[in-house]
Amino acid sequence: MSRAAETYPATTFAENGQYSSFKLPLTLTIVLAGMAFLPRVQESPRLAGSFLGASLLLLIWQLALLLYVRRTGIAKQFKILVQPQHYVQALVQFSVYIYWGYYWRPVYDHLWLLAGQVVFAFTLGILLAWSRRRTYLLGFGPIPIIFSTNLFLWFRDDWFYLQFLMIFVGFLGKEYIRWQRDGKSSHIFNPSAFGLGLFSLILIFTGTTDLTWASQISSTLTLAPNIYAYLFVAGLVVMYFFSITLVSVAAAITLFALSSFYSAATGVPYFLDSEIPAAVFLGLHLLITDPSTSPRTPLGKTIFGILYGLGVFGLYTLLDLVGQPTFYDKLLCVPLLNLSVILIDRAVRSSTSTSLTNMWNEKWLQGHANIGHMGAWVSIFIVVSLLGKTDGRHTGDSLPFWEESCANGLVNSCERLLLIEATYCSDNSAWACNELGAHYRKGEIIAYDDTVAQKYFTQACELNFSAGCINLMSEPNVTSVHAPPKELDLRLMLRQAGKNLMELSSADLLERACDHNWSMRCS
Amino acid sequence: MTNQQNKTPVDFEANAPDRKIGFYLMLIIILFAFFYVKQQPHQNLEDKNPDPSSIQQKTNETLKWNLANDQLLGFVLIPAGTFLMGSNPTLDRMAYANERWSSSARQGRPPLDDFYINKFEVTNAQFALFMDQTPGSHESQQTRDRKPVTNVSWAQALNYSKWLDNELRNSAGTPDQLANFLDMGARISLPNEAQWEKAARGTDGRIFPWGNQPSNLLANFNNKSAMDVGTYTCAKCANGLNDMAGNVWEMTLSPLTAYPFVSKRTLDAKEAQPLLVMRGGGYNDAANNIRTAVRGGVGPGSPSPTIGFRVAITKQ
Repeated sequence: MSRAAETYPATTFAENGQYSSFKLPLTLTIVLAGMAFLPRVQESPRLAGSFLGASLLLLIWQLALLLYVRRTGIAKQFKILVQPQHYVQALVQFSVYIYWGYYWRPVYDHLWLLAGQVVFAFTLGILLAWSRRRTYLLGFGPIPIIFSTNLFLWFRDDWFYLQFLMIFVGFLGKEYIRWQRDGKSSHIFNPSAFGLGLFSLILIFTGTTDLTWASQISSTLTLAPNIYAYLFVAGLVVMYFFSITLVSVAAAITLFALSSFYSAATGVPYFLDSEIPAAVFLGLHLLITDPSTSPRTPLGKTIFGILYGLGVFGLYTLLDLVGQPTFYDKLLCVPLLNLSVILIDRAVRSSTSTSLTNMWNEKWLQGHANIGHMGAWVSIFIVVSLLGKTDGRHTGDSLPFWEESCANGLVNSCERLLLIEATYCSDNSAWACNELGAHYRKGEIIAYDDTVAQKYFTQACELNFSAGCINLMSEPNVTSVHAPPKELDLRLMLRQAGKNLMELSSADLLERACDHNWSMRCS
Repeated sequence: MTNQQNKTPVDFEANAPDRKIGFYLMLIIILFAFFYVKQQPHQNLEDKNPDPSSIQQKTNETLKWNLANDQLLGFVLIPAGTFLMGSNPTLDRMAYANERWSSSARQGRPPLDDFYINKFEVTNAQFALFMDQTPGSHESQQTRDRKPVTNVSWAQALNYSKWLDNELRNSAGTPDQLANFLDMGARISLPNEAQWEKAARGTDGRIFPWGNQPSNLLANFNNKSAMDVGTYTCAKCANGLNDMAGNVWEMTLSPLTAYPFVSKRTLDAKEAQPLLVMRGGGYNDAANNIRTAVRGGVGPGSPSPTIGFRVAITKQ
C-alpha cells in the first residue's frame, strides 16, 4: 500500500460565522504585503512592487468572494488535511536548496522570495477552491509545487512579477484542466511542470531567457560536491514513501544507456560534461515523480520514465539545433508526458500478455515490490558511479579533449569547444578569451567575425594576457598569437563543473592539469 | 489508495461553476505573458542602441568626432628624422635609471619616420562618441566634457584609436593631408614611446616640453585634479602640443622594457605581467615625473583616474 494514502483526520473550520474563514487568506495576504518591506525584497523597487501587486490581486479577489458570501449566505470553509506526500517532498526539496545554496549563495538570497511564493500559493489555493465553491483542504500541498518550480527556474528581481504569474498559471492549470481518471476528477498536469513548461516555451519563443536565472540554476548544481550522490539519497527518501521508483529508475537508465551508446558511436560525450546533467538528474527525482500525474501501473511507470529519458535526450539535440538553451530539455516534455498518462495505463491494462503485466509485480517481496525496485536502483547507481559516470571527473571536463576532438572533426566537438571556451572566458579566463578571439579571426570552425574577435582579444588583454594584447594590436589578416594558459586560467578551467580551484596548491593544480591532458603542464 | 481520503467529505465538484471562465482566464494570462515578455529584449536593446538619426545629429553638432576645429583636426606633423632620446644625468639631475640608453651610452638617437600626433589628450566628449557608436562594448559614459578621458584601459584606448581610424578613413570630411597619409598605409593608433618623446621634446633634447626648467604656468602638475585639455596653452612647447607634461599620464604602444628603444619590439606573448609604457606624468605628480624622458608602466587592464592617452597617425 502506498504511504501517500495515509492522511490525518480532516478538521473543518469556519463553523463560527460566515466570514471567519477569511481570516486565514487575509492574514496570508498581509504577510505577503509585509514581505515587500524586507531588506532582500527592497533591493529592487520592481521586486517590492511585484510582492505588493500580488498582494493586491489576492486582496481584491477576497473582497469579491466576501461580497459573494454576503449576497448568497454560503460560507467558505477549509479543512486541515495533512498528507505525507506533500511534506516529505517539501522536506527533501528544501534539503536540496540548503545543500546547493551552501555552495552557491544566490540560492540563500532567494529563500525569502521562495517564502513569499509559498505564502502566495497558499492564498491562491484557498481562493481558487472557494471560487470553485468547494472546501479548501489545508495541508502542505502548495509547498512542493513552489519548491519544485524554483529548483529549475526563477525570474530575476526586476521581472519577478512573472514568477508570480508562472505560479498562478500552474495553479490555474491544476484547477481548470482536469480529466476523469479511474472514475474521479483529477488534474492532468503536474502543476509545477505545467507552469515551467509553458513559461519555458514563452522564454524560448521570445528569446528572453536572460530574464531568468535558468542558465545559472542548471549549471551551478555541480558546485555542490557529490551532488549526484546527494540527489540519489534524497531521491531514495521520496521513492520509499511514494512508490515512484520505477519512473526515476527507468528515466535514469534510459539516459545513461543513450549517452553511452552515443559516446561509443561518436567518441564524444552526448551531454557537455556528464552522462546525465545534474539538473536532469534532479528533475527525474523531484519533477516527474508526482504520483497524481504519473501512471499507476508498474509497467506504466516504467514506460513513463523511459519516455522522459527519450524526451530529454531528443530535446537536448533539438534545442541545440535551433540555437536555444539546452537546459529546457528537462522541462518541456513533462506536460506532454502528463497528457499521455491515461493512454499509457490503458495500454498496459489492455495487454493480454501475462508475463508483461506481471513485470515488477506488486506482490513481490510480500507486497514490498518498491523496496525491491529501490534495491535494484541502489545497485545500478553504485555501478554507474564506480564507472565514473556521476560525480567526479568526466571526459568532457577536459578542454584539450575538445580541442583534439575538434581537430579530428568529431561530431559537435567544435561547437562544444567554442561553448566551453565561452563559458571559461565569461569566468575571466584570459586564455579562453584569447582562444575564442583566435577562432573568430581564423574563421575555420566558426564564421569569420573580426569585431567579435576584437571583443574577446580586448577581454583577454584587459586580463593581462599578453597574447590577447598582441592580437588586439595586429591587423585582422595576421595569424593570431597563442600562449599557454596561466596558473589562474587553470584554476578556472580545471574545476570539473565544481567551484574554481583558488585554494588548490600549485602542485595539485599541475597534477590535475596533466590529468586533463594539458601537455605543457606534465613536464 | 485513498480509503481515508474517501471518508473525508469533499464537495469537490458539487455546484462548482463552469470551468470555462478559469480556463479562458489562464489562456489570457499566458498570451499576456508571451506578448509582454516579447517586448523585454527590445526595451533593453533600445537602451543600448541609441537611435541612429540622433547619433548622426550629434555627430554633426559635435563637429568631426569632437576633434579640434582646425585644418588637421588637431593633428600635428612630426617630420622624419632622429632625436635625442633618454636622459643624461649630468644634465638632468632628476633622471631615473630606466631612462639610460645602454651600458655604454646615456642617450640614443633612434630614427623615426614622419607621423602625426594630436595636439590634445583624448577627451571625455571624444571617447563618449566612440562609445555611443559601438554599443555593447563598454558601459555608457556619462561625462562629455573636455577633460582628458581617464579610467580607460589600454585595450579600450586601442579600440578607440581603431574606431577613429575607421571613421576618418571612411569619411569625406577627413582633411586630404590626413586621408592621403592614411592611404599610404598609416593608421591611427597610440604613439610608441619614441614617437611620444620626440613629439614632446623635439630634437634638441630638452627636459620639459618647453625647456629645461619646470613651470606651473605651462603644465598642470602638483595639483588635485585634471583640467580641460588645452587649458595650459604652450606656444613654447615642442611642436606646439598641449599637456605633454602633466594633466594625465598618457599610455603608449610600447612594452616597458630596458633601453635601447627598438621600434619593432612588441609585447612578449608569454609575459606573465605585461606592462606598457606611459609618459608625461599626471596632475598629482611633482616636477620630476613630468619630464619628457620619464617612463612609467601600466598594465593593459588597469584603468586609473590619472591615466589617459592621445592618438597618433603612424606608418609602423
